[in-house]
Amino acid sequence: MKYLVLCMLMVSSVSFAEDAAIREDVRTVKESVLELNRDLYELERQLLSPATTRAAFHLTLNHGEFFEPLSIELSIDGKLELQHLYTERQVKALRMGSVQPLGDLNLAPGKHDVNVVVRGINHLGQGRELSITETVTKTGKPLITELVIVDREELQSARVQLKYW
Amino acid sequence: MRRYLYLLVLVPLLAFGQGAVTDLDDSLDIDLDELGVSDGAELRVLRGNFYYSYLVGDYYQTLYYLDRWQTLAGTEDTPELEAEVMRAAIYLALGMEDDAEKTFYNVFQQGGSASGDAWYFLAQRLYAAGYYERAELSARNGLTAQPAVSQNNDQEARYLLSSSISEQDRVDEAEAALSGMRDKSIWTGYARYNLILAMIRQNYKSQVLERVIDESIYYLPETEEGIALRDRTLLISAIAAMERDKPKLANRYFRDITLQSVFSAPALLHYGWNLLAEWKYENAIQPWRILQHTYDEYNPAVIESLLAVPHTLELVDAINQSVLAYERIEDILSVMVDELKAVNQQGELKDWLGEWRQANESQDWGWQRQTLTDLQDSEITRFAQGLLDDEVFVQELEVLHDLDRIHADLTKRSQSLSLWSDILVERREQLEALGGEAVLKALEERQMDVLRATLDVQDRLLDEEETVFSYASRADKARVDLLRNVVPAVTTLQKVGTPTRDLKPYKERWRRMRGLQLWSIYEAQPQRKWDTERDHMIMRSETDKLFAQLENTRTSLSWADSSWRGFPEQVLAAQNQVNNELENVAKLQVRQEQVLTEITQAYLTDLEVRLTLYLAQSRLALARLYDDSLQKDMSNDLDADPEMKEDVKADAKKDVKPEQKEEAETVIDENVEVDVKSGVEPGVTENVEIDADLKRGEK
Repeated sequence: MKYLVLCMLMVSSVSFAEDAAIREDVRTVKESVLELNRDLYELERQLLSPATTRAAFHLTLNHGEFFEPLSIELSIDGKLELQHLYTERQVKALRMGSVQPLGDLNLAPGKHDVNVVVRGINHLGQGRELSITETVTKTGKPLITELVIVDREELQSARVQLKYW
Repeated sequence: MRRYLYLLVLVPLLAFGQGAVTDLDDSLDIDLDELGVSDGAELRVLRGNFYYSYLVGDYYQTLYYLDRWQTLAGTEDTPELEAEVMRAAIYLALGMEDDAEKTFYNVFQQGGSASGDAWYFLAQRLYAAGYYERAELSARNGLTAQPAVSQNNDQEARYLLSSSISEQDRVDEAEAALSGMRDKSIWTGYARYNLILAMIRQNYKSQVLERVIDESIYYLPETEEGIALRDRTLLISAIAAMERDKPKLANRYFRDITLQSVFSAPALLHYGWNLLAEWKYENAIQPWRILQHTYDEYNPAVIESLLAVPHTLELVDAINQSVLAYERIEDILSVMVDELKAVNQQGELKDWLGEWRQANESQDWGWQRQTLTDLQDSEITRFAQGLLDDEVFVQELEVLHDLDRIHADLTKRSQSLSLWSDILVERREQLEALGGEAVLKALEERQMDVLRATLDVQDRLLDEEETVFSYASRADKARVDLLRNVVPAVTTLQKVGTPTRDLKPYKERWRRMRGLQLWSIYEAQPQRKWDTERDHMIMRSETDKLFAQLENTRTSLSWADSSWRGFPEQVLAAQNQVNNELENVAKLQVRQEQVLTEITQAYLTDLEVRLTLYLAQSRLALARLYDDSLQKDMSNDLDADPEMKEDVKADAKKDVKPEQKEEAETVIDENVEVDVKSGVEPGVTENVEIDADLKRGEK
């Protein structure tokens, strides 16, 4: 009887140890995969748009009481470069104060005309279109731009602004 | 001359350079002043990018932005701590509890503060992972932090606080935390549900418990989610009332449960048992009949109700109906046991798992997976429904899914890296074929030609200033030449001196013409000068632009190398890493699949034993009923013939040996046991199972 109990204990401890080992292995793999993915993401970004030519575009929704974006179109020097349709989840994320990475483009050095058209609905559910055209200068450093949709409470409407640095 | 030319080349270059800097400064100044861009703008954008990726569920990007945000944040305490808080939340969401634990410990060691939303996200993950004490701490931090939790998350943060306290069985504190919530919010409903569970665990006074239950049900919204939560609350309240010997109260709760939620089946089963406990036999059969008609016969609640019905019929002396019901059950259970034996094989189970893995290919891993427990429609799934309540099984299932997704992601990455490798070769070859240096040199030479022409024009303009008839037109100049040519003719005529010829009128006419011509030239000069200078300026401006463009081309050419140089080595290293990870993950997948197969096999074996027991119970019950009927018939015959009765008694005394007597008693005991099991025990077992499931208290 004693031997039987001993055997059972040994079997259960071996199985527990094996289970713990798998858990540990899975954790290690997850950790290294996450690190690897982060590095790969960075590498892919560099491959797609090297720092010298990179122009990163972002979008922020400031309050968003008078405007809800449905789509955005971004043209550079008259050529359509970026388009995006918003999901409910993305709009919710923007309303919570997050900043959408619209995309990275490759721009040649010098001045470029950026034209942005944001289509959406206002607080009354009517269709609205916000647009802006501005000239930006690309130098040897990455260009970071941020499109900000700002509420104008006095006019019960919104407007889009372009920041870059 | 060459030096002069270089000097002239440099002048517009400097002018362009200054112009570019001025332009940049201007635009930056305007933007900075108007829009408040500061040094921290990039940090703010990175933080925003991180939250965006987190909220829309792109975890690879999330970790990438988190890393960049943290690197950029440097030594500033606040953002760094916030990044750490979010890192802990992500690790928890990805099922990396140990890493989260370390990060969480560091966060509390550091002190400082993070935003309310960061604490809220961490509390959410900690609660889901079952770390209630820490979830409470995070929720408290979130509700007191600055900037505070955003309006959208406020109620959920309070729910997390109240529920994590409830999970620690601190009922009074949980109730106090609930007081800050809006009554009609669904989150308040969930918080109250968890509070009810805590009160049941703590054996709270019935009156207090009933008040909380009534309050909870009253405020729940009439949405699908609200109705499901209402049914769930009523079910656990009814089961608790049954356990407290309050059958009438339990009946009230059971009657209020709808037939539209997942809680309807166990509710109908328990409702029947509750009525049976009140000796309302006929009423007890009704919910079981509804249960059997509404749900699949493989549903654990239905299987149990199958045995409950004939048992109840037997109690109301409906022997014939009971026999028929037992016979039907015997048939059903025999088929079930055979089917179960057939599917409970390693190969079958692996195929079943394979189908499930294929069906969940579109699901992401970590916090993105949502409906993993929706098993595909198959024979095994019908039997394995109860497995979905097994936390260990679900966790193992999640691990296998995560490994599958990781493997798929890595395979995709490996393919993408191979493509990048090809692209880099193409880029290099294209750039080499382009011969950028030669093209640029040719362009520079053409640029120099244009510049030389411009300088010629400039020289001529300078010379023009010094001439008498500056900016005169070609026609003017021709006329001036004409006038000049007339002078020798007049002089010759004067020398000849013929008396008949009077030269005065000619001279006078020549003077008049000269005067008019000079007048015309000098009158037009300012306008011509202006036009010429303007044209020259335009030409200079165009030349400058051309020069700037050439400079940009030169810069682009110098950047072009950055599109491939150094990358092939990096891509190769990454490919090796990905392949190593792929091997590791594949090994783990096999091991994990084996673990899940073993768990499922053990469950199905247990089920087989249980169904066999049910089958034995129904067969024994049938035997008992037939035996009773036979004995009844025999006793009737014996009553009719007294002589036969005496003979039988004598035979019995003579034949029965002590061991046979013992065996007979054992059979009677078994019958009694079976009677109890078919009547009450399975119900109690099921109670415990469902109770345990509901007591998890998750949303």
